[in-house]
Amino acid sequence: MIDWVTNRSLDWNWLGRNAGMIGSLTLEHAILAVVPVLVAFAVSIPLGYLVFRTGRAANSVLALFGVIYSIPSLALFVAMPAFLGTKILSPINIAVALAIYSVALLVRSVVDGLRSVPSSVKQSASAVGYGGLRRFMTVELPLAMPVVFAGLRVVTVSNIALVSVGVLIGLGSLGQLFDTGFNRNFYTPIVVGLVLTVVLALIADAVILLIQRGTLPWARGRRAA
Amino acid sequence: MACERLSTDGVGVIEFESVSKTFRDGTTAVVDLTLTVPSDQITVIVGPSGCGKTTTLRMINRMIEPTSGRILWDGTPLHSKKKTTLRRQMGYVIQSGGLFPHRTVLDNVGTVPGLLGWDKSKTRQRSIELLDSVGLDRALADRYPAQLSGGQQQRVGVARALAADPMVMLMDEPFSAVDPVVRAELHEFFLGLQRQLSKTIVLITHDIDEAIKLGDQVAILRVGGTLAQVGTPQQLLDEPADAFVEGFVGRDRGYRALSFSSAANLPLKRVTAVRDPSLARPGEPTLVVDADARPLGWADAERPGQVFQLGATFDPEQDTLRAALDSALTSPVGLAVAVPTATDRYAGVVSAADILAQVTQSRAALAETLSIREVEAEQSTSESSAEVSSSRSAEDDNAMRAS
Amino acid sequence: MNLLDYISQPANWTEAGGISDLLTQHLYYTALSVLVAAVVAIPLGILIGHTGRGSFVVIGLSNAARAVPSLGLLVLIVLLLGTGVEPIILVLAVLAVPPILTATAAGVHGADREAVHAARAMGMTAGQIVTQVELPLALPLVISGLRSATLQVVATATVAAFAAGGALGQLLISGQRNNDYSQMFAGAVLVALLAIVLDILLGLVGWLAARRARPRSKTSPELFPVPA
Repeated sequence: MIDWVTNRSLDWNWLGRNAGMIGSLTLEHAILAVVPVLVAFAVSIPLGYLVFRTGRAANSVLALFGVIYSIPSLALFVAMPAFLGTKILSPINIAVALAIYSVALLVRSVVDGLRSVPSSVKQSASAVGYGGLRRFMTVELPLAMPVVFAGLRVVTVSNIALVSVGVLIGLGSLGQLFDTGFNRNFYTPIVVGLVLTVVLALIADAVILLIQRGTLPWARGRRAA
Repeated sequence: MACERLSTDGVGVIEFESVSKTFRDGTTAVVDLTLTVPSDQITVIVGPSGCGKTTTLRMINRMIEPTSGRILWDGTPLHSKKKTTLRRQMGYVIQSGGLFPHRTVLDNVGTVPGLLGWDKSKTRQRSIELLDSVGLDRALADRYPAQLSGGQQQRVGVARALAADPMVMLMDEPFSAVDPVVRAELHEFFLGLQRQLSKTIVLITHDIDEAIKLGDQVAILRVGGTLAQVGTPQQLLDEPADAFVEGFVGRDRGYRALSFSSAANLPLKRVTAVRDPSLARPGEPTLVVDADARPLGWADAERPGQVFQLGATFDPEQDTLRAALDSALTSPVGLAVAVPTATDRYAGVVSAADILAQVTQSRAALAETLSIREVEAEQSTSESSAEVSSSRSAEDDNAMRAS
Repeated sequence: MNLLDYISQPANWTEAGGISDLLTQHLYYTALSVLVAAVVAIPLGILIGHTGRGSFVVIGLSNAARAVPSLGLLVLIVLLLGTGVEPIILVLAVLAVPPILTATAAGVHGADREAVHAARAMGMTAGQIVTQVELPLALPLVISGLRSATLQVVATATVAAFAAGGALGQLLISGQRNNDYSQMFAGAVLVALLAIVLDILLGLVGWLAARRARPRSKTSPELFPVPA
């Protein structure tokens, strides 16, 4: 009984010895998860606007994007070299796959957000002389942002959870700890990996929330869809 | 006299005995309510929001339990009956219909018979009969509620409440969610139905107009949940117990009169009309019109060249005085703009004062209207009482006070 | 070497432990764990949605579930309970509970309040209200939850091969071990196709249910699914 417990309690010595390694894995994990989101964000705003402009056809496009995120992450990671010509162990595979997921989710958020802008607001913007791009940038997009931010939070958190799967094809950042723990029948790295992944997700979520509060003061206290 | 028509000793009377209700959060909804709901009659409970009328209604089918006092039905305390059994004996209609969106019209109507374990063919037959009696085409039987208009949904709601032939009908603002035209239509349908069925009905509303039109007995509650007065509509109009009742009855009485008089005889006046708002002369109301004489708005005296929103216009050939008065009251310069639908052009303006003067000139009084309805009810004729509206206009003094 | 070398060989499908067997095993894992999760999550979701209590827990749970790496949970449970079918099913079911629970609670809680009120006023018992009104109205959302759960499970069942072998993930492992990318690619394509087909099927079922629950309404309720 005592054996069972000690065997499963955290080994603080191991933690101390490997603090540096764990730190760099965490940093790598964060970069691998967040960079695709940033790229996807930049792509999704114009892409989402174009999809939104197609009107009713937008639903079909969004359904197609829906198919993309029904693909399991490991399958997408493994299939990437076939499309990119990369090596199977390249981190590019994971980054591109995560960016694809992020775009698929964010485009939907952008379209949902743009749809949530009341037509009365758009009409009055046009009435006072805002045209085309200016109306989009100064009226529609800001009003769509609460919904886009909600999508950003979902996508960032799920990316952080997904990076770990990459260890199965050679690069998983904190997922490395799961591999180590599993191979050595050693609980400490697994628990540390789980906790750090969740903490990283919570921090990222909080940071996005802070950015949202700072950039959209008018939306404070409201709930995005 | 009217009060003799109320049978307070018949079978199925509902009696509130010093009933009070205080919610857990400390809100007092009803205070020491003693009220007898006569059988086979329509009792309307009316009052401003927050007067506890919904709580009162829901205590009758034990959706809410009183904190003190008791309620008797047919001499038996309600709390001695099982809740579900009690509710199945009382029809219930709510404002938005509360229809089951996933069931067809026919299945909605057959809900309570289903709960009571009637066999399928009997339920079906009864449901179809009910569609007929509430004036719905049988072709609608297999539709879903979302495929019906608001008025049709409300009729389905009434049919559903009637399905198991309940002795009591509880109606929570049943006609509030539909537009005024459909509401008037539903009122007539409802009164006609009651003439045939003679149910004990408790209906709540915030609209004294509706209360006077529908109620055999009207109970007025005031904010805080106390009973202000109970009596026949005429008693309330003739002998209001206090200033609250007088104000409550009086105010809407005038407004009611407005809804039944045509705006056709209003004396229309002309004001300066211009195409270019900057040409407006200061100091007089100036209407801005377009090239086809359609009114666009009022010139703003403070800011030359700017235009105030027009507000609602009215059609002197079709609208009522009520619409005209609404238009005058929402206008930034206090003038209602007449725009006949036929021409779509500006035809003249009229002030709120002139509209009220028109009401004063009208003859027929509200009391007269009521006595006509009583005669009708006693004869139990099935004629629509819609014709009454043509002979009713306003009781001059009250109408004036109402403004 | 051609990408489709492995998948196009009939022998690779039919041999013992070949593609057919792995596919069957994958489907079996998926069906069993979603079923187990549904048995737990649907009644619990009904209870939470009907009473309105504990919805805070549900929201917290569904947010946390999104942040937990499924691989980490998998290896942790396999180390604790050993390799075998039961621990795998347990992990998959645990991961499938939050989406079903959230959707059921939201669906029951969000069932047309006026209709529920009317049902009570007409004398329906609590059980009748749940089975005749709340659950039929919640059904599209419940199915949407099952759909998210199924996708999560299909994905994680793939990962499970690394801890316990078997299912379509086996193709990825063997391919990596044999340095045969066409075998890995076959695994990836099959898993992706399986997920897409199940997604479309359940989407269709949900659409039919939504049409029954809210005929002619334009907006069918749907959750925000995430990749797994």
